[in-house]
Amino acid sequence: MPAPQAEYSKPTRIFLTLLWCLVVATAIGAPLAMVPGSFDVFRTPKDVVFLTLSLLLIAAGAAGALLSDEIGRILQPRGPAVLIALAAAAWTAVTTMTSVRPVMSMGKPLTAVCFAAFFIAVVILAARRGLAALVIVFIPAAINALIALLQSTGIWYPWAVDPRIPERMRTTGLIGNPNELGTYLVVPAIAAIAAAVVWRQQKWLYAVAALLLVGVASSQSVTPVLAVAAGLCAMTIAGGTKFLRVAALVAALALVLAAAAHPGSRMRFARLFSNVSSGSLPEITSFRVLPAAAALEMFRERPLVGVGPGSFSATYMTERLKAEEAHPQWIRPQSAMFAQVHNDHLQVLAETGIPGFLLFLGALVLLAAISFRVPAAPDERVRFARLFAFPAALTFAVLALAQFPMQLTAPMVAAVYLAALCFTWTGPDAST
Amino acid sequence: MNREVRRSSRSGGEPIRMEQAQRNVLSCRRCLTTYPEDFQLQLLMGENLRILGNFEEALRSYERALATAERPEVYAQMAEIELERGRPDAARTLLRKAAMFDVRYAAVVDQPLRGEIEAEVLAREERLRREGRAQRAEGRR
Repeated sequence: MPAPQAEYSKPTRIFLTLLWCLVVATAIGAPLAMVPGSFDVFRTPKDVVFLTLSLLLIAAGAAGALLSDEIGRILQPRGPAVLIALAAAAWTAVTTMTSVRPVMSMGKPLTAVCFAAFFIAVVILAARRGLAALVIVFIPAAINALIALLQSTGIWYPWAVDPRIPERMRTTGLIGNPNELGTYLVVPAIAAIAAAVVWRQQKWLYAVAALLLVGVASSQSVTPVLAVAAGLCAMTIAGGTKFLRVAALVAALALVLAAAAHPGSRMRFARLFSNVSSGSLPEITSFRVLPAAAALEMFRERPLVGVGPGSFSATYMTERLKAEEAHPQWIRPQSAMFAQVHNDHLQVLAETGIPGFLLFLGALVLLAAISFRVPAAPDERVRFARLFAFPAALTFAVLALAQFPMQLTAPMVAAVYLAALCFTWTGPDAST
Repeated sequence: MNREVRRSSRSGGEPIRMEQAQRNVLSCRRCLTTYPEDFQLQLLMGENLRILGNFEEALRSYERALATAERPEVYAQMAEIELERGRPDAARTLLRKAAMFDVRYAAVVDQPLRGEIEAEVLAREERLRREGRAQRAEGRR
């Protein structure tokens, strides 16, 4: 086990602080990055910020490890979670080589490597950090939730809005659209609730949790609300104390109240209930059944390596026509082009085959297991990790059933960062 | 780039439109030397080549885009070019592909071709529904 940071030499401490600054800049900068007036206002700037800072992180880490044995020892990755992160990056590279559309897959290994490096960096550098490390995720999430609330209530728009845009679609935060905004806020909201339960004396955490829940409701998106509900249920299982059950119930009530009080959100749920009563699957799922069937078709054709990362959209047109042959009852006269399946389980299966999906599932199971295998300890960070890990894994799995968090930079940065905190705070290096 | 070109077409400035399209093609060619496989650049170049009346090269550009990512609007745009070239059979084949995905693409052409394509799409859907019903009935038995 490496020595506590105070025992490192001064240059090493300065170097580790520099690396940590890069991690913080990535975790805060990526969800906030946007370029108003550009062709792609939200997604590309986030990708650019994340990839640039992650590559800097990799370059700085590699240079440090080459120039100093001490830094080399500290930066040695350890543990099964790190292995899964590296295996995911390696498998992305393999499936890119076997892709049916190599051009579409070409950039994906770089993204996977950057996420693996970001994860490993947080695991190594946050081991001895406390609540402040958690707050880093809450800063951009709270800013986005606040903007979402103001936009969805029509109080304030940070930029000029085209009046032809439907009311709901104007709620973008700094993320891009209401669905992506809700997808982004869900995991930080669960983390904020867990943190408020663990660090009870920090009353401001209650305000952060409430703000993030209101942000989720403001997105007027069904799946994020259901994902938060699933996470809260899981939290009562993971925690099991009376205080926690009350806290989870209060949070669930707050979410339901916020969703019911918000006019847009209320309308959206009313439409969902009316679709459910009609029993028509395409309408209930916002026409996502055919993309899902097309993804299954792709998986059936190439079960081992999939069609290649990023290739779903490139082959969707042909595969959807095949899926229609199998499910004619789902055909509708007008249909949209789906760039994503809107179900990450199926997209991972279709694009990277069974090994890719097993790695995804393995990562979720490994994270969830923290709640059950790590013994209880007085350390608040361990208590947070135990309380948050299983709900976070379940929330993400539910979210990935009808959204695509794995294809978006902002939700992935927050999720990967929080997962890494859970692993490192319950790992062997987590001394105070 | 295309937004600018379309705007100038609405204002009726044909020479300006042509000049812009020419500039756009040059920009696309320059970008394609760095990103030869970018299908969106291929689409953009195809659209501008079409404005300039260079149909052969526009079609080749669209075909290169399709080799990377298959999209219904590309088939529809190719169908329009084939019509402009006076090849209705080729246009029908391309437009059928786009309309099978979304029947609204049939609206890019006038009657009677539009009606024929819509009828073909409806006939396919009807056939699939019939077969589906028969299969389900067989399954129940």
